[in-house]
Amino acid sequence: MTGAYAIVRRDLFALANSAIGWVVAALSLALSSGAFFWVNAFLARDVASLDAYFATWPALLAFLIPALTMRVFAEERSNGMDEMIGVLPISTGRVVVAKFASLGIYLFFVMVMTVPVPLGVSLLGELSPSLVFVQYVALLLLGLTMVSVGLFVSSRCASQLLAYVLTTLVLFGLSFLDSLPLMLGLGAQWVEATRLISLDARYGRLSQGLLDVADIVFFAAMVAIFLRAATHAIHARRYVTHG
Amino acid sequence: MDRVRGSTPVSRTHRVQWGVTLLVIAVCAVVLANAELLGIAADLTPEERFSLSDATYALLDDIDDPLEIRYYVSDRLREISDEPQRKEALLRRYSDAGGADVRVEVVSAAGEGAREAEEAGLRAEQIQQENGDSIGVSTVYSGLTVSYLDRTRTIPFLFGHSQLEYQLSNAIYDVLRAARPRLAVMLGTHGEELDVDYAELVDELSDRFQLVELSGEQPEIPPDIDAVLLLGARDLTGAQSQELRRYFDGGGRALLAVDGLRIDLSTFEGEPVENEALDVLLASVGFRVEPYAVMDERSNPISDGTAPGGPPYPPWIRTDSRNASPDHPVTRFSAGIDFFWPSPLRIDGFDNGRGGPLLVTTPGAWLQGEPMRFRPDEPSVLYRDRDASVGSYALAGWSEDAAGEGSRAIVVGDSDFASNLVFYTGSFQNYMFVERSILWLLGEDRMAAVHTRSRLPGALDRIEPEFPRLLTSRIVESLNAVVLPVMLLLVGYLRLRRRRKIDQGERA
Repeated sequence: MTGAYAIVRRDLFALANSAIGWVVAALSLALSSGAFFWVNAFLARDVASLDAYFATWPALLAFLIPALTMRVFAEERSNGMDEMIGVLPISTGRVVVAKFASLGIYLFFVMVMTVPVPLGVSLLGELSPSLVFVQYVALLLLGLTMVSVGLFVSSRCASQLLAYVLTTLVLFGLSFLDSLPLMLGLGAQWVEATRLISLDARYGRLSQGLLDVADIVFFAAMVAIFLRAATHAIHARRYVTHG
Repeated sequence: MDRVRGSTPVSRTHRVQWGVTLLVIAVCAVVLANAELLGIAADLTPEERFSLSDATYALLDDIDDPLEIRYYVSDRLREISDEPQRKEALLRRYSDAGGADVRVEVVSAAGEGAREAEEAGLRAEQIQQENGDSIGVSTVYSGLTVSYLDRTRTIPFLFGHSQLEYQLSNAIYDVLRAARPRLAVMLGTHGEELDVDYAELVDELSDRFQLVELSGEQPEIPPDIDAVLLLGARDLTGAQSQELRRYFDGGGRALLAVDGLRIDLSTFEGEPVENEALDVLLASVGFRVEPYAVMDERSNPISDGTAPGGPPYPPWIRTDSRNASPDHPVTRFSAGIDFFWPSPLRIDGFDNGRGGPLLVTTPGAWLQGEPMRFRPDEPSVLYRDRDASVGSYALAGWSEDAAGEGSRAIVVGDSDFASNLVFYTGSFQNYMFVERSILWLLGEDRMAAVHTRSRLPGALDRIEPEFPRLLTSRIVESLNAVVLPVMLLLVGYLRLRRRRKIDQGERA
């Protein structure tokens, strides 16, 4: 565990010492709040609800999370750091989980920085604390799932740019998967089946205030699957390199 | 670099890892499917939006014989929205709560299913949908039937998931009763006819209640009547007033839709109603209707008929759950109602009873006295008396003679709220208010409070004076959208600069 902890610390330190970490955090706050307060005309709508605020996050995260994850493995691969990881006395799975954890902690930090939004809105109107809690849980689950997808794509790419573009495409694809059968004119069964694995549909259900085991299991499963796939990709490369 | 082939320990490890991955996927799929079926969830919405009401549970407990719910839905609806899935999830809760006595069946409304739906009385609706550059029209079904013993109730079309519990629980309530409650309807405005001016309301209520129209000359309320509706009372006669008072004295229960003003729609000018018989009747149930028009900025726009929408029209007031009393069964889950030129009510309640408001305006409402002018193209006249009378006004209220014969009254300061005007403005929630009111008058308090899931969040009303409210809002907006992000960038910049200096120092 010490090795994994060291990687978490190292990655967090790297994020804190890179412009991208601060820029992504600042952009997240500015764009989400700007869209909520100004584009959605918060004051004119006269409704004490954060539904519109949390509705902006999926698209925002689909653009911003790839900027964080693209560098994780792709950068290490391009500058040869992956060889150093390869000789670390720690399993590949732990390396991947440690990197996931560091980005998860960063995401949590960004979410904590958004707390003044509900606090401010509650000065003006009565918010439901339990509903806001579920909305934050939904946002955290969505963010962690997107991070795991980003890590997987990064593990398969040598170029950061390619990792960014691919991750964004995959995230948008997973988010709006349920629109595809409709566009292709497939049947209702396809629509309902894709809705089950659509990130946006799951996030939408959760953020309405229904803390459903099915949705939590879905997000946990997605994280597990993509981290497992990332581990597999890194492990294969690690073995090929040092086999 | 060697590629490893064959059945070496490494390739076995890879196979095992892939196997584990597939196993994880399979286990998750099974758990997901079962979690969907079991519906294990915590409803953390303030109004318990995803839970069944106590009234529904009590209703399902009363079922002794098999009850069947058949939900007919078109595949096209499933393709374009998750509404059918949400409705099915709610129907599963009925079946879980009702146990073996409640059977839910989902029927695809295609081919034979569509024929069956037509025969059951479901209504096909046309929906428009964009297909690239063109707009297609589909005919869809989304309704249900509830059958119990030899009785069947049909809900011809379910528009949204939000009102499903209300509609379904009321349908179950109706089929569980052997006889429909009897309602007497009394009209108190000259020139109005029940089948003409209130045709939509009659259509809405006649499925559930037996309606008996009372004659204007001899308004005797039969003894087997369960509740009375007084629709319009501008010209209420002494005989009508006396009969209603006699009815209340004997424990009667009535919904009184009354007006404090009379409007000439050709000139949009109004005058106060001066009717002593009405004043005496209202006083007997602890109310008074004031001879003013109430106006509110939260209003319906008045359309010119060529396009929907238009400028706001303050005499048409739109109330919603934020204006409704959360403590009374009729309005606990109410979507509010739309009023048309309403008058304010003063509510004292029965002498030995209690009473209170059901629906009130926003605090920014105002009154208009004589001369009353409501032309939509003269907004300055509409706002004429605003500064002198701004405040919150009661537009509907209740009273109950809890200590006496158990009389109950609901008074609405507008008779148009239940008229055919509702059809033109799409204010169908008004009929739901009438239904809930009738249920409360019948003593079915729990049924009156069955959920609808359309309750709106609260307004931004914690800071009332306009300027501090605006100032606070601007501070909150700027702090979150500008100050915090800029601070983050600044902290990041300072940190990077410090780091660079340290690096340079180390290199030196």
